[in-house]
Amino acid sequence: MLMKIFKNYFLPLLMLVALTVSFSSCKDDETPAGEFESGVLVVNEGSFGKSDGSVTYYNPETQAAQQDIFGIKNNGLALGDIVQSLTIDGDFAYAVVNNDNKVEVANANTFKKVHTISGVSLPRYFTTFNGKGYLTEWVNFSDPGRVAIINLSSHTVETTIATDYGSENIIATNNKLFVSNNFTYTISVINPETKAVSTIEVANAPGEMIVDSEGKLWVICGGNYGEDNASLHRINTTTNEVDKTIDLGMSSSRMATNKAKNQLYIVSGNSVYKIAITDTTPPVSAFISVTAAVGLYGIGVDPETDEIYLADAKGFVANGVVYRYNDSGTLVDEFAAGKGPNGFVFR
Amino acid sequence: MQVYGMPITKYAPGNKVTHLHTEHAQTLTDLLGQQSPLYFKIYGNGQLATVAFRGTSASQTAVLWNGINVNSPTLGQTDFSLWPTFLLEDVSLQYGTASALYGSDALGGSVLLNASGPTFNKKNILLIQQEAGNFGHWLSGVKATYGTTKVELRTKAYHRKLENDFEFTSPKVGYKKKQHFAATESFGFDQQVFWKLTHASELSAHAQYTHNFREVQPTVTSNTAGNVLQDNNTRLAVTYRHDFTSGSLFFTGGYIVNDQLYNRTSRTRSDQFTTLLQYDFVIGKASSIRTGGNFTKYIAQSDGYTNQLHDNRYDAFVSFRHRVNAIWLLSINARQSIYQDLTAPFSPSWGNELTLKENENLKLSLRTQFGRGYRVPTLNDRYWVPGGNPNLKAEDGLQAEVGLSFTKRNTAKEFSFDVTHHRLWIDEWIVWLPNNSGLWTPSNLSNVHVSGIESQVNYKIEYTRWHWHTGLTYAYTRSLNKEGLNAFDVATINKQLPYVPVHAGRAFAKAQFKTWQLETQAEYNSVRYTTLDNAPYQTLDAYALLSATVSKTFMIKKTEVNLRVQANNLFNTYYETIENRAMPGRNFLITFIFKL
Repeated sequence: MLMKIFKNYFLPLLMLVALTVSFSSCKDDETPAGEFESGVLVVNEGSFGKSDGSVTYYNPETQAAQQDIFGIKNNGLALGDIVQSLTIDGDFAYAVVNNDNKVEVANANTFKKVHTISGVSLPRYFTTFNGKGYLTEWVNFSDPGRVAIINLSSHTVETTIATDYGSENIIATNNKLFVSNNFTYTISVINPETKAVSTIEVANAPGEMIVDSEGKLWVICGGNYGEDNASLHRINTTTNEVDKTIDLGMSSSRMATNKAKNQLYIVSGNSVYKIAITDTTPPVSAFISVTAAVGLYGIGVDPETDEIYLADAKGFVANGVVYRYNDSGTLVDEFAAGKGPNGFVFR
Repeated sequence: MQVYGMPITKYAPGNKVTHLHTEHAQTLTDLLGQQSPLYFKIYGNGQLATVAFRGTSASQTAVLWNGINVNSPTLGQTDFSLWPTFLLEDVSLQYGTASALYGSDALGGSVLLNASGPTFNKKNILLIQQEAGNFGHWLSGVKATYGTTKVELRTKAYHRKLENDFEFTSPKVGYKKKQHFAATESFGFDQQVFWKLTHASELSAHAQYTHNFREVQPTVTSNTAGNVLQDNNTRLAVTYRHDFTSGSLFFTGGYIVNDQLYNRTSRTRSDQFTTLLQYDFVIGKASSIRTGGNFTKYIAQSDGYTNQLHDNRYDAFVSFRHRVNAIWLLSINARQSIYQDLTAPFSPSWGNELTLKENENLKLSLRTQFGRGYRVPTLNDRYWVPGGNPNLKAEDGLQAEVGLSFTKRNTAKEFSFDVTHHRLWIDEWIVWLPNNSGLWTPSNLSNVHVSGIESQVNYKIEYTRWHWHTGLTYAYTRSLNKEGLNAFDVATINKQLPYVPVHAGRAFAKAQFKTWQLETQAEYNSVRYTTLDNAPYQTLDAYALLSATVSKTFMIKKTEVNLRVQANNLFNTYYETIENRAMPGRNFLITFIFKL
């Protein structure tokens, strides 16, 4: 049973939510809105059934890391059990807490708790589009998943849209919402106007998605658990058709893209592989190999600097460690994270 | 030979052994936790509870019922919430490595659950117990002992219900919260029969069935119902003893079924057949030898196994006890176990007890013990699909301990003191980690070094009609990880294992006056880490608990009635033994026991 939980939870990771903070044209003498207004946030999902999920704040300039900023700013409150993902939209940070069936909403700059979205079941990932929040939910392990539409002012669920089993990552592009259904072979495409859903077939265990510089949607499919058969699928978001597939011949469920969005980074084992969006064959040699890692569990690329952040979950036995590399693959820094770091948000 | 009355730990001189009193303990968790410095991981009131000795893990604790290892073959440990104390009679704890005596899992210590010996005295006893407590706690039980000078029968049955809707104030939640979704209900029967077949032979049969249903108490941050577990446990044992002029033959046959249903759909079941045969005989005036073997067959099925699993274990063992002189008593034991096609580490042990001074009023003795112990990997470790590793080696431990024990008494007073220093090196410690393909798989990765001190002081005094008894136990335990998670990991080396308090203390004071009895108990555990890198911000706070009991025994006609009122956690302390699982605050329990 424990292994089943492992299997269910060690699934593809956080989609990158890159939010560019514009500061160049800022002429006001504004005081910072909060100490977490810029920097790197590490999502630590925590161990299953321990409620030790947290967010680590890292300042790339001072190289200082601060653990459990939600706890520190809220008198020791726990963020919850399996903090699957963190999305920032405007002044709000949405921490999706899978096993507590909730989304914690905090001020994105101060991390003071604002609200809790409840009434959701095994939520996974969150995005916003046209003033609405969209939250994927597994619901349970025997029924199809769904997407909850969240009213961003009242923080309540307005309605839900049925998708497929294990609805995981969600991304809005080309006026559509794409949802990877991790327990299946499918991507659900939602028209946010009509709420109509169509389906695209990819491969086993679709997870993280990225939109490249040409507007194409890339999906990574993890393949069978513990086997080396992950694959990449490129989707034309206008026709909803898969126009390129690359069998990776390795296990992977984590990916990120660079600032120019013409390069994908794939994590497999303790290595990172580079794939150009023009490539048609899998990468042969690793771009970065983190020999010190026990088990890489998350990747993020700073959309300003192209620096690569790799999270080592240390097998959930100890707290995680993050390795920061520059764009040529040289180690810049290494810092402590919380339990089970699975992804990053760059501010 | 008189077998009953002879300690089950006859071949364990040099080992630290304590006997516990099972009366008035609600669960074995309460019993062991209050009377010994063991560390329990309790996932909530009445929930999953595992115990560890001396800085080891729960699966490095052997639990023997009538001599049969009853640790779950799938998970390798015992959930003590499934062992209602109402059905138990004799509980002993043996500290330290004892694989030579008890086989697999006896690395940190062993819990020995046995029937108390029959009296064959024709005295019929009927005991009825009714208990009520806070948070919807109800227990009803009945025990009957009856028989003749040849046959003794004991029947027990109980039913327990616990709503568990206590309030708690975890700082992780920030407001006073009521626990929900943590109710449990259990019932069980136990039947024992003892036959004195001839003056030299005896047969006994033990049958126990327990049913336990629980809502698995969610973590403090959860507001929704969690999982539900239903456990049905059947435990049968037959023992036969035949005495010869210079020895005794023992046979035990056991059948144990652990049947667990997870969320009403996913079933894990193990069937265990154990036979144990041993011959214990005397050589000369000062020596005795016990030799024998056992065979256990496990059959297990689970969603995590491709097929029904069959696992066989064979053990052969020999023990030698010799009194060298009035001062020196020694024992040498050895065991070899084979599981499937693999050989467990050969496990010898050598114990000595030196009685340095002994007279009517004083006893001073020194104990030493050296031993090797092992733990056979569980069926999940070996066969779970995917990830199980059939090539795992057994965990392998070496232990040394030395103890000093001192007792001074006169007619009205008794003072005793015991101190033990122990060291244990465990190698091949099994850890599950992800491999390069993201697959979680176990390996014999770790290496742990435990060292510690245990001490105990007891003082008893009789003063006019007052009987006083007070005691203090303290344990200091350093359990340090010696192997990184890989060749580059130094963050976990020389760190205290999670959930091992460095300091643990227990204290009690009892006073008895005529038919009145007063008792207070205190329990302390220092800070515990929850991660192997010992991050200070993720520790569980140290806590101290105090409980008190008042009890009075009186007669109503021919019925002896005992009335007890117990107050637990008097200072209403919020504490956790495992991260973010709330434990109840102050609560009261009232118990009536009628003895006919």
